[in-house]
Amino acid sequence: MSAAVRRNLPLVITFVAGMLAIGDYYFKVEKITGAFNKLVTDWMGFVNVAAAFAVIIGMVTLTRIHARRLTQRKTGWYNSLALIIAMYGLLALGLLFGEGKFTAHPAYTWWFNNLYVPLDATIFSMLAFYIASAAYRAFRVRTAEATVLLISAVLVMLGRAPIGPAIWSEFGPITSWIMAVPNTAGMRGIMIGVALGVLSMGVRVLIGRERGYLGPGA
Amino acid sequence: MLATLYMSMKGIKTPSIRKIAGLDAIHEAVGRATEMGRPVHFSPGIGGLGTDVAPQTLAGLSVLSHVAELSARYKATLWTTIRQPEVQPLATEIVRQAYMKAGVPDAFDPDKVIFLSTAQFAYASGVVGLMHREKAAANIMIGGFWAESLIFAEAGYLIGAIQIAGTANTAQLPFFVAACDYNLIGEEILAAGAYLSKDPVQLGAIWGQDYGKLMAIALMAIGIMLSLAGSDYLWKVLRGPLWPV
Repeated sequence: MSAAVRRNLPLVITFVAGMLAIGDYYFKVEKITGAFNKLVTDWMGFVNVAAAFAVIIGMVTLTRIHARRLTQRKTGWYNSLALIIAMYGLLALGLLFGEGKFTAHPAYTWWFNNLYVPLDATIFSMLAFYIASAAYRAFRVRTAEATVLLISAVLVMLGRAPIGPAIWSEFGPITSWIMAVPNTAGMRGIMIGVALGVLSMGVRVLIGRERGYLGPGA
Repeated sequence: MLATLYMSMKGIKTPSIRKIAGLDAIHEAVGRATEMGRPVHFSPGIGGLGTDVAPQTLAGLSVLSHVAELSARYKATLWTTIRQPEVQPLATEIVRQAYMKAGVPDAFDPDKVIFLSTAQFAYASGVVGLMHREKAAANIMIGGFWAESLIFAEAGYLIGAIQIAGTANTAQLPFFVAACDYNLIGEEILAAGAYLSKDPVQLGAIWGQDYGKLMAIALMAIGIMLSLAGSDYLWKVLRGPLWPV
C-alpha cells in the first residue's frame, strides 16, 4: 500500500461513515429513504461486530504482558497468575459449559457474584474517602474563589444532610437555590461550549483536518 | 463555522486562540518525568468510539499523539492504559508512529499500551495499581471519565505525579479541579487537536465556535424577552420539529 493511500484511506472511510450516519439521522422517510436507512442500520451492526473482535486483541496483549511477568518472576508475579487463571478459567467455563448462554453455568455466576461484584463495590466505595481528602485540599482557604467554594459547599452539605434542616430550616431552600441557579447556570454554560466544541470537532474530522487521532504526522 | 473555516483556508484571516495552560503544561510534565527517570501515564478515558462520548475519546487520542511524540523524543517511558478494546489498536498505532517520527522505532514497546478491562472499576484498579508500581511522575487523563476520575486523580496525587486532566463530563469536572494540577474544562479538550497542531484551518473551526456562542447568547436574550412578554414561540421553534411529520 502506497504512503498516499495509507494516509488518505482512513480519512475517506471516516468521511463516508460520518456522512452515512448523518444522512440516516436527518433523512427518515420510509418510502423514499427506507432502503438507505436499512443499509445504515446493517452497517452499524457490522461496526459493532468488528469492534467486538477488538476484545481478542486486548486479551492477547494482556496475556502477553502477564505471561512475561510470570515467566520472569517479576515482583507480584502471583497476581499475573491469578489474572490468567481467572480470565481463561471463566472463558472456558462460559464457552464449554454455558449450554448456549455464556453466563448460564452456576459456577460462572457464583464466581461473578461472589468475587467480582464485591471487588467492584470495594473500588467504588473507596471514592467516599477520596472525596473527603480531595475536598479537604480544595476547600483550604487560600484565594477568594476557594472561599466562595468553601462557603457554598458547607451550605450545600448542611442542606443535604439531616442535621442541617434540624439546626435551621432555611438550609434546605438555600441549598436548592445554589443547585438550581448558580450551579445550573455554570453547568449549562459549559454544556453549550461542549456542544459547540463537538460540532466543530465533527466538522474538522469529517473534512479530514483533525488527524491527531491517526497519529503524529498523519 | 463553515464560513470561518473557509476564511482560514483561504488565508483571509488567521485566527489566534487563547493559551490553554493544561495543554502547554504537557511539555513540562513529560520533561519532569524524564528528569526524574520515572514514567508518564496516559489515559484516553473510558468511553468508546461508537457512542456519544466518541468525540472526547478522539480528543484524548489527539493529545496522546502529542504526549507520545514528546515521550519518544525525550526517551521517557509512556504507559497508556485502555478500557475499550476498539481504542487499543488505534492507541497502539498512534504511539508506534510517534516513536517512528522521533526516529527511535526500536524504543516502542507495544506492551506499554495496555488494555486492562472493559469493566469500569476493574480498569480503575488496574490503573491505580500501575501508577503505584511504576511510580509515574506525570499522569495525563484526557477523555470521557466517570466515577473513576477521582480514583485516578487521588492515586496520582498520592505518588506525587504532576497531573493534567480534562473531560467534557460536567459531573466529573469538580473532582479533577480539586485533585489535579492542570485542568481542561469541557470544550478545551475538544480544541486540543487544533491547538496542538497549530493548523490555521483547524483553528478556524475553533474561531467559528465563538460565533456559535454569540448566537446562543442572542437566542437566550431573545428567549428571556419573549418569555417575559408571555410568548413561548421561540421555545416551540427550538424544540422542533420544524415542520409537521
